[in-house]
Amino acid sequence: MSPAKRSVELEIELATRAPAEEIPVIIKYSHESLLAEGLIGDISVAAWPPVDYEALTQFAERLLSRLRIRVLRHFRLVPASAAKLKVADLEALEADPRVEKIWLDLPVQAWLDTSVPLIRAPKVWEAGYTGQGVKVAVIDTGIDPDHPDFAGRIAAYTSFVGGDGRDDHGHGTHVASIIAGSGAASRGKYRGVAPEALLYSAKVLRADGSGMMSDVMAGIEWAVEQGVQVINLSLGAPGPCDGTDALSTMCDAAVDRGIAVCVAAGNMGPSSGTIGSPGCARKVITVGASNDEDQVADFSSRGPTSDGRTKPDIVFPGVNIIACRAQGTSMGHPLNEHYTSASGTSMATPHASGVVALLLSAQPELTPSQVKEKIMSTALDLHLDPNVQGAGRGDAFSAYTGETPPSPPPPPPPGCLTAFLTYIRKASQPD
Amino acid sequence: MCEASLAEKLRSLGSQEVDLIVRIRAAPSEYISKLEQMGLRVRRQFTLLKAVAVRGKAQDALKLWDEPWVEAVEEDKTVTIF
Repeated sequence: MSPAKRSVELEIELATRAPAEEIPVIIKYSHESLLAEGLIGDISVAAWPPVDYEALTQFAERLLSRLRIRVLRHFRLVPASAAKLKVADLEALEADPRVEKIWLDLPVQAWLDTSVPLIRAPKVWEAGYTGQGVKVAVIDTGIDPDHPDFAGRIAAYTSFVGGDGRDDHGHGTHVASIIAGSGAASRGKYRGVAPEALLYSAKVLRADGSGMMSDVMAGIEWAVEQGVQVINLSLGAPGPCDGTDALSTMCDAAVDRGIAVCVAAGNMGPSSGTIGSPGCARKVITVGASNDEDQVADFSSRGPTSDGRTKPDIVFPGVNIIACRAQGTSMGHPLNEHYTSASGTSMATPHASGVVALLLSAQPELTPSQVKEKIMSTALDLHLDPNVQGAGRGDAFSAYTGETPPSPPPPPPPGCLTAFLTYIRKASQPD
Repeated sequence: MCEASLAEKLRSLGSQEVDLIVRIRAAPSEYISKLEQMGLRVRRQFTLLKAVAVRGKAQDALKLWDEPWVEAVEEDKTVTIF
């Protein structure tokens, strides 16, 4: 018997399984045995596949049937098979010298979190754009630089409210990971929208989640000096406003410098005229919150601005969003050591910033106004008042291709389901 | 433009400390000493916008309304997470 043939995950799984239970595994055959069987020539495994696939299949079937192992499929690019075997038969399989390694066939959950697939960011990744190298500033409560999901991608962080910029609240870390978390601590489950973007974090809000406009303005200037391409502002003051205040004016000035600025609409909905500064700024992308059923959240602030302009510009998912939890904080509803769930336009805004990063990784020459136009013109129309939904719910893949997103399924008929969804909406208030 | 309602509020606050953002018609660096002579401490100077953040007594801040180089005065409001 050779326990080293078992993967760590398989060893852990075995501790919870009875001998008669079946488990899914992937079995890799040894190079030496394949050589001895005449299935491969004297070449490296890296040059695989050099053999007759049928011959390999027969070899594997003979080996596995002897041990009463149920074969699911054989692979071509690696000398291995997927199978199900009883826990009691594992030792016999390990003892066979033709077997080199046995892994647990793990469920793949790369995009289990719902909001990122909903806005079809993974389809942009498939096209080769993951926000790689795009510089995104998160101006917020700071960031947890030790979280595994940010490893190697925090380019700079600073503080304008004392301390060293570490997140002592949790909000900034949550926001940053929606933009660019790698999902490393969740095997990719809670991966952000642009998982290869670079992060710049300016702490402008204290541990209680509040701060002053002038500190936010200082954070914006720092981000501009750092040469960022996107600024995320999941913060603001109560509305309404007309976009001429200093913070809004500075946001517009940052846009004039070629930086796309995404700003939270606020959580003062559903009343109209509840978007404050800097969400009322003219040139920014003001973001409201929707849920996974593409309904605008009741809490999401509504337009118009006090000078009569339509806002928000767009909505993105912002209800029950699971993302990174900063060490030593308990913002939202913690799931475990590394993740927590939270709701708010704060959570919707980094979805927009992530989409901007994806677009800029695909087309770096886009101006902020072109980015805004692309995102808004390709949004999924939810057929609501523009001062509630903006242009609709943003879609990363449509913004990338320029095509209209697929229509949502028709709404359910009135009845129990509608009542249930209404209940869920009411239960999903911002944190 | 300096809002009358803000001036009224400052008058009612008297010697209490207030935080303000002052937008200036020229380069802010030229007016730092004048602001300090008024009794206002300059917390931050901005470059993207011709503005400074100041802190001082409300009664001292009212002097800003008399200065032609001051374009606008507004409260340095509290912002919060959303």
